[in-house]
Formats: sequence, structure tokens, C-alpha cells
Amino acid sequence: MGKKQPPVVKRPLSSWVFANNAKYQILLVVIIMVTVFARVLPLEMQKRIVNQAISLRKVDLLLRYCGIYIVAVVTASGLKFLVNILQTLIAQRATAEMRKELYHHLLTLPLNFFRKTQQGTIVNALASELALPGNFVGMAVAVPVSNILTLLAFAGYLFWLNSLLAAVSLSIYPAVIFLIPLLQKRVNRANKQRIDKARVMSSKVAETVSGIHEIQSNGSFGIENRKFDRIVEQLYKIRVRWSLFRFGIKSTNNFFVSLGPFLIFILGGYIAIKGQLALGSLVAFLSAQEKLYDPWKELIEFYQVYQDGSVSYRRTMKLFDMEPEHVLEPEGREPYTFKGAIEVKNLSFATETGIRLLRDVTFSLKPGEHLAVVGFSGSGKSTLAQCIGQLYKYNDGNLLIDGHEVSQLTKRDIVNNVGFVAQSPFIFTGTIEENLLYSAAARLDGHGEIDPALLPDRDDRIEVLQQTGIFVDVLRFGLNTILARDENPELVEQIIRVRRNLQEDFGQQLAEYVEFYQPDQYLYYSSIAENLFFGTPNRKDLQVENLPRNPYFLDFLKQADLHIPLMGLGAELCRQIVDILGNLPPDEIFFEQSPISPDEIEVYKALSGRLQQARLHRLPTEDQEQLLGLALRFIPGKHKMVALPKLLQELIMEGRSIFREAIQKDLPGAVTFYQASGYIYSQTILNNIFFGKMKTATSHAQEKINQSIIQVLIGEDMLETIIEIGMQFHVGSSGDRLSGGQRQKLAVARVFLKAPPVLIMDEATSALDNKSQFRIQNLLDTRWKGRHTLISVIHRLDTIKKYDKIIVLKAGKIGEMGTYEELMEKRGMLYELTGGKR
Amino acid sequence: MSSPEGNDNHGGSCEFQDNISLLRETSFFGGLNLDALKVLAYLCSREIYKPGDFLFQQGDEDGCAFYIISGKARLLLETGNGTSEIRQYGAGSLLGTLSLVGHTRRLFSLQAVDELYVMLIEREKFMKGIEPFPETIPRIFQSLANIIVSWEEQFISSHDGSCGACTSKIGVSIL
Repeated sequence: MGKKQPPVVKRPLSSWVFANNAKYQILLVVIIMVTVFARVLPLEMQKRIVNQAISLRKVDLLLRYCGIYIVAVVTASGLKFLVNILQTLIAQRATAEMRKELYHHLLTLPLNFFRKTQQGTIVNALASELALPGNFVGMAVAVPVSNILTLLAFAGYLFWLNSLLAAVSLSIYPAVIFLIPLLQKRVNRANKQRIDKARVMSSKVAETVSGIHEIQSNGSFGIENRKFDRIVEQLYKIRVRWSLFRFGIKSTNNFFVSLGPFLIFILGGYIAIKGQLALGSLVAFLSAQEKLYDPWKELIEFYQVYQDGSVSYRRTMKLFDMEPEHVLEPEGREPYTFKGAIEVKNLSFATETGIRLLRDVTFSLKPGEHLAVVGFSGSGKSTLAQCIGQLYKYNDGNLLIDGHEVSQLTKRDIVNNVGFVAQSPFIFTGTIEENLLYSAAARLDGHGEIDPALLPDRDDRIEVLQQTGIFVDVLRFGLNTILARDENPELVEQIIRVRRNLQEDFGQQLAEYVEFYQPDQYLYYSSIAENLFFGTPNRKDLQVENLPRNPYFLDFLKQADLHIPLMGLGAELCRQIVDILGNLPPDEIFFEQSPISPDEIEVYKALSGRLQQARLHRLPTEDQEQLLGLALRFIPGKHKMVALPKLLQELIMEGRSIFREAIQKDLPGAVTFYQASGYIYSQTILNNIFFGKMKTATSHAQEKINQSIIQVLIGEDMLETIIEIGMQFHVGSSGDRLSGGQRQKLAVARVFLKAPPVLIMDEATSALDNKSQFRIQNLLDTRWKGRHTLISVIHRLDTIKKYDKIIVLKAGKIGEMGTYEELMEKRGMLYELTGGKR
Repeated sequence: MSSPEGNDNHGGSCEFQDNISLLRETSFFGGLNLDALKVLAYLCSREIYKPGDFLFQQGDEDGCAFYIISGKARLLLETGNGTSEIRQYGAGSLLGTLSLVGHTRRLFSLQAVDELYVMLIEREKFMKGIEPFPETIPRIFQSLANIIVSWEEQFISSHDGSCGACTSKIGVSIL
């Protein structure tokens, strides 16, 4: 992070040209000098070839000049390529640097900024608007130097050839220099509008994405489409205007420049006719004059890039031009380590619009004391917690930790000493483990890679998982993992051993909740395809989605008298599901218990219509395949809308043995059959431990199963291995694969793992079930009290009895303060909050 | 979920059809039209509880309604003075419909007395299930009102004004 430099938002665009790139830029200038020389040389050669070699009929001179010519041209092209490489490098480095620095700056901005600025605007600024300024930085030295030098070289050469002609042909340029800035002003105006409108559009897209539920449930497609279309229309007009003005500049320039040869012809031709100019010189003059055009065009383009780039740059930097509220790292001292004494004196906080959220709050806590903050919503509880956590800067009064004013502390001091759990904590994309270590790792962070040896070890990690009650969830993630083949042969062996013990010790007890795989029994909690195979296909054409089109499999079905009955079952399923779900919104929740997914329902709706008109065997092949596919996916224990006919069940059981014999003979190795001694790689660890499937996924059944599973895993010393696998579970983008309760538990766990001297919890357990809330509270009361200071904003009043102090906030002021007993005895506000009447 | 008899209910009538008939028997769901009933019956699930298992515990926010198909359950109240049994429920009872309508914490615990076989529906599914049928909503309100009023009616008539202390607390139906 730029420590000595001014903050990134204050840096002028020009400061990027040499910062970090000085070496490259100097190298560029050197190369350009050579290039310019290599560009002028061919002109002289051209003149000499005409005037000397051809006129004097000297072949050796012709060869020599042509040789020099070709060497110069090759050198010029090669160097030009090198210049392009360097330019690209510089431009991309500059863009990358700008992005990084701006992102680093962004993270430190006050929360207020993010409340006021739309997400899409920030994304757009960082993602797309820095490309133009970056391009400018890449060109900033190379283009003006090389083109001005080239221009001067050619101009000098022209004067050397004929000063009168040179003066006349160069006279057009001042006119261009006068006209173009006038046009550019209008380009800049349009460019500013373009940036603003593009931001509006990005914000709109970002808003749509985060509000898509509301849009789809309201069906407000028309409203949103019109809003977006209007913005795009406006942007379209602005972009057209912007582009037209830019082309206007190009055209104006082209027009004036093409007047050049005209002047040469009329004046040069006249002089040549008069015999005052050799023909070779006129040719050279014309060529040189023409060559002025390219560098000039490039200069004009550079001018445009400069203008567009600096408009984008200023607009972007202006957006982020705000100071962080707190210094990040302490200077000239180590970060403090606090004991956790807190002293709050006449603390007040008002929003920018002057609404006073806290007034004259005064209290103090000794290290290790626990404080509960209660009150109605809107009473300022969270604001108080956030002020202590340095998330908001208070306006008045004092807030001291171990005698240090919080507003004067650096972020590092706070990070090292204070842990904060927000009410709706944010979980980052990544694994459970990464999220668990997030706070502890941030504390160790010194802007480099973090030494993994310093992070909490496995036992500590598992301990906090247990303390917060997310342990069973992580265990379940671990158990639901599908192991890759050959990934962990030891574990596979262990699992097969566990499988045997589990069957012996808990088989009967679990039979209520688990259906074990038995070769001679129908599996109600597996699909019909799985029932037929009783194994895992190893070939793509035998996977369930391909079976209805696999001729070998279809032959087998016909042989086993299963083809027509299965299609009949498919038809029955199709009719029932369409009848129940056909007119419902395509919500996941409706389709959890159905073999048809929300995106397939339309297809089956149409198919159900055709079923009414034609008999099964008259249906087109495609429809027959659809119905067969549906039947093969049918799981009677899960898809309860249709019962599996007894007769069909018997046919399937017969089919199982026919299929097994046939495929072992015809396609050996195509299917790995379920065996009590073999691992099933297509299924989860849990299914493998059971050698079966769970009948239901309800929390009641899971609790029952967990008890047995945990016992067995502990007995086999496997629990920690499974937990470690579970910790590798990917929580989805922003943790969307976790429930609200799981997210809160994980957030509490990550702060427990950091174990800071001061812990602030802002309704941190509000989404948890009773048991988990009490478990965590109990832990705080027994193991944290006396060691870590706690400030806990609490909405459930049945957990506050053991706190050392309770503050009741009302409209930002302390209404009353004391121990639970004192306040209840007083029959004041706390008494009222707990439901008593004064 | 398998039925307690262990015949797994497969091969005969399907669980979905059974659920429709069970729901129709209750006063809470009985008045709904068939389309809505079908969706709700489809969204129901079955569960077995062993003697001593809790269906929910005091303070939980589980948001489930239970219909007892077979077996018995007891309602327990935990107070500072220990746990007391309020009453028992048998087959055909529908419990917890209020928690389908809104987030509420359980004020009692419900525990299986013997092996208990229930049909249950969760609030989230219930809410989603009736959403496409707005005409059912007034009926659900009506059922809820009926249940509360008839409860209190029974309470008053059975106590006949003789319960001095509790008369001061009656009146839940005028909330």
C-alpha cells in the first residue's frame, strides 16, 4: 500500500507514467530514437535510387541502396513491434496497479460510503473504467516521443529537400491544432455523460441480480424491462454522440492532412516543370510528405486517448475520494495488547443527517466482565456495539479500551484485541475451513502470505466447531462427500471396516431410518434404475440419463417384460405430477419430492396432453423415451404421488438378476455391483458407511442417526478425518449453501477461534435454535467470563441472568443499569421488557 | 418414511392419496378446495418417533404442524417448579397449526408416549403451498378463528365460572 505516496485517489493521472515503469519508459525512448532513424533512411535511399542508381545506370549502386533500404525497413518494423510490446506491458501494469491500489483503498473506506454508493457503480468503476487511463499510461511516453521525433525528422528532411515546399505543406497543421480541441471539448462532455450512464446501468444490473426473487415472484418483468431499456436507450444516444464527435475529429484531421499532396502537386509540379526541382526530389518529397500523415494521425489518436483517459480517471477517482476514518497500522510502535477494560463516558453518536442514535452513554467494564445490552429495536443497541468495535466513529464523548481512545487507535490495534460478530454475518465464498480461520488469519496478516504453522491447529478448530454446535453440520458435510477414486485408499478401507461394525452394533436400531443394500430386496429409497443395476455403471451410455436411448438396455427391458410396464409407470407419474405441480410457480420447494425438475415441467405438461390422445405404444419414440426416463428415476420412498405396483416390483427384482447375468457376459466390467466388501465411488461416504441410504432427511431422523454414526466413528478413530473432509465443504457464493443458523454458528466459531480480549456480539445467536443458544451462552458464562470482556446485544432475555451488568437502552440513552437481580427487583424497564407489568 | 407396521405402504394405495384423506378429516384443512389440498398433501411428510422422543421442545421455533396417525403424545409444560404433563393426544389430533401461520416459539414440549407415527407439514412448505391459491387464505383465517373460539367456549362452559383465579386470564378469543 502506498505509504509515502499520497492516497491513490489524490494521485494525478500523470503520476502513473513513470511510477514503477521508469526503466521501461527509458528503454522505450532509446528504441524509438533508433526507429525514427530507421524510418527516415529509406526516403533518402529512395531518392538516391532514382537520382543516382537509375539515372546513372549503376547496378552496384542499385543493389547497395536497395540493401540499405531493406535493412532499414526490417529494423523499423521489428523495433515497432518491440515498442508495441513494451507499450502493452506498461499499459496493463498501470491498469493492474490502479485497480489494486483502488481496491486496497476501497476496503478502508467508512461504512457510510458503502451505504450511499450503489454496488454496481463500484464494480463498474473498478472493472471497466480504468482500462482507458491505463491505455493512456502505456502510450504516454512512446507515442508522443516517437511521433514528434518522426514528424521533426521528416519535416527537417523536407526543409532540406526544399524549404519553400516544406513551409507550404506544413502550413495546414496549425489549422488542425486550432480546430481539434474545440471538438474534443464536446467529446469530453459526452464521455462524462457516458461514464455516468454506464454506472447507472451497472447499478441497475447489480440491483436486478440481487432482487431477482422479488422480480420473479411479482412477475414484474415488464416494469424492470422498461426501466432497463430506458437506461440503455439513453446510453445508446450518448455513445452515438460520443463516437460521432470522435470520428468528427478524425475526419477533420483527415481532410486537412489530405490537402497536403494537393499543395505539393500544384506548387511542386510547377517548380519541377520550371526545372528548379529534380524529379527524384519531388518523388522523395511526396513520399516524405505522405509519411507525415501516420505520425500525425497517431498523435491525434493519442490526444483523444489522453482526453478520454483523463476524464475516466478523474471521474473514477472522484467517486472514491474519501479518507479512511482510522489509520491502518501503528507507526513507530508495536500494536497494543489489551486486557479489556472498557470505559465509556458521555458517548454520543449522530448520523450525518443529525439523528441522534446514542446520547450521553456512560458505563465501565473491568477486564473479563460481561455486559448485556437490551432494549427495544431502534434503541441504539447495535450502534453502541458498532461504536465500540470502531465500525462507526462516535461524535462526542469518550470510549476507552485500557485507557486508549478508540477513535485514536489504529485498525490493527482493534483487530488484534476486539472480535465482532454481526447479527447477519457475512460468509465468504470458499470452504468452511477458510471461513473458520478468517478472523484468526486476519490477525496474523502482515500483508504477505500467512504462515500456516501460526494458525490454530486441528484440535482448536474442532473444539470451536463443537462449542458453537456447527460440529454436526460439518460432520454431515463430511459424510455427504463423494470421494474421488484413488483419492484416499486408507479411508476407503476404514469405511468398509466401519460398515461391518455399524451393521453389527446398530443395524437393527438404524433399520428404522436406513435402508441397507441387500441383493435380494427391493430398494424403496433408490431409483428403479439403481434397483435394476444394483451397482454403479462405469460407462457413459449406461448412465441413467442415457439409458432410454441405449439399444442394449432397451433390448434387456423388453426381454424382462419391463418396457411397457415402466412406460406405463412413467405415464402415471407424468399425469400425477402435472396434475399437482403443473400450474405452480417453478419453485425448488415444490420439486424436492418429484422426479421432474422445475425446468422439465413444461415438457412433461405437453407430454401429458399427448398422453390423453394416444396409446402408449403409439406415442412418438421421443415421448416414449421421456416416459421411460421418468420411470427409471422414480424413487418410491421419496416420490409419494404414485405407488409402485407390487407386480412391477417383482418384475424389477427378476430383472435385476437377468441384467446382472447378461451384462457380466456381454459387457464385462461395465457395471460395478454393490458388494458389502467394496466401496461405491458414485455415492457419499455416509451411504458407503451404511451400505445403504437414509430413508428421510428430516432433522429428527438425522439426530437419531448422528448418535450412532458418531459413536462408531469415534470407535474407529475416524471422526476427525470426516470432520476434516467436512471442513473442505464449499459454502457457495456468500455462503448460500448454509442455513441462516449455520452461518451464525460459523461466524461465532471464527471469532471464538481468534479469542480476542474484547468480544462484541450483536444479536449473534438470534437465528439459532434454543439448544445452540444456551450452549453458547453457557460457554460464555463459564469459560469466557473473567478472561475476556464481553459486550453482548441481546434480544432473548432468558439468557441474560448471569451477566455482570445489564444496560437497558431506550431511545439511545441508558434507561437503567445493574445486575439482573437488582433490575428485576426495581420493577423498572427490564422487568417490563421481560413481560412483567409495573 | 415407512409406516410403523413395516409394510412400507408400497404396492397399495399411495401415501399422497392417504394424505389427502387425512387432511380432509381435519377441521383446519377440511374446508380447502381440492387443488390446494392436493398440493399440501404432496408437501406433507411422515415421521416415526420412539417413546420419549420430542416432537418439539419448549422455546423451539420449529414451525411444524403434526397430525397423529397412530400412537400417543403428551404435552409438557416446564416451569420453575419442574415439568408437568398438561394432557395427552391420540390418533386423529392435529397440533401446531398456529405455527404454520406465523413464527412463534413453542410454549410447551410435545413428547411421544409410545411409538408415534405422524404426518407433518412445515411452515415454509405450507406458505408456499397456499400461495398459488389466494382464495384459501380467508378460509384458513376462518378455521383458525373457529378453533380458538370453540376452544375458549369449551373452557368457559367446562369451568362454569367456578375457577376463580383463571377467570381473570380468560379471553384469548377476544385478542
